[in-house]
Amino acid sequence: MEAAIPIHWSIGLSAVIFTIGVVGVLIRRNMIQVFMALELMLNAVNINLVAFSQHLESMTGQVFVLFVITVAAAEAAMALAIIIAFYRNKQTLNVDEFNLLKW
Amino acid sequence: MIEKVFFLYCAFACVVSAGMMISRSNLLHGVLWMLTFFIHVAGIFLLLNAEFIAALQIMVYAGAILVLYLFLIMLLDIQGLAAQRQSHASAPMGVLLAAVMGGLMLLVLTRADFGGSHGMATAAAMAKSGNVQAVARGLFTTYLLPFEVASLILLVAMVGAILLAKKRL
Repeated sequence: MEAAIPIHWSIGLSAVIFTIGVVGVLIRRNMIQVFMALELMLNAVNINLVAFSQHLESMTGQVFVLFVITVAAAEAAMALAIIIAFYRNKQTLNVDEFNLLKW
Repeated sequence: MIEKVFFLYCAFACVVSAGMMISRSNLLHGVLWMLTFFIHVAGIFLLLNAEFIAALQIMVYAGAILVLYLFLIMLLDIQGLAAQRQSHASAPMGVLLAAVMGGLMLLVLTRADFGGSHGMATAAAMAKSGNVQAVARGLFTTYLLPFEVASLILLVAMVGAILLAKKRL
């Protein structure tokens, strides 16, 4: 059976979303928005994995998406805890102020 | 044909909501655009014969991670943050670099030949046993050890998040 969606369409969409995520990480100053852009990049990778899973007719890609989602959930929980701890100390979320290790 | 139309709609909605998500200065609006983004990504997963992943996308991303972000935004005072300047002084440079990277990726990926398909999980086999069974078979046989490690990662993240967010360390 011929696949309904050409693989190039999914891969192209994934590349566009990943690029939007990179733009978000590079230009935003608010820590929360930087992490939201990171979620965009992770989702782009997931689309890529699922597209190749369908194209190569192998389930490995979908199993890997499961692991990516697990790591994304863990990353979000840790990052948000760090943001709360940082905000309590510095009263800001500006990434330019993240220089506690510098003296 | 109808699949292609639905895919194009989902792709368009994904790109628009992703763009709105990173360009809103109000964080709450950004998170709501993130919700539309996640739901349309789930639609794309459905079109790519990954029903289980689509359900997982809705439950974990739109359910858990999104609520975590909403909780954080409401916990912190974001009104003062929204008043500041939002992007770096070097933002045009960042956009330029990302555009070059994205252009190169599109150039390479849309011209690449990805070869034919020759796996076990054909569409006919998937229709017979179901997507969930196919994912579970891979997850609990070949990838059993990574699955256990994933549960350990979640445990470490839970303990770490509680420890970090405590008032006094």
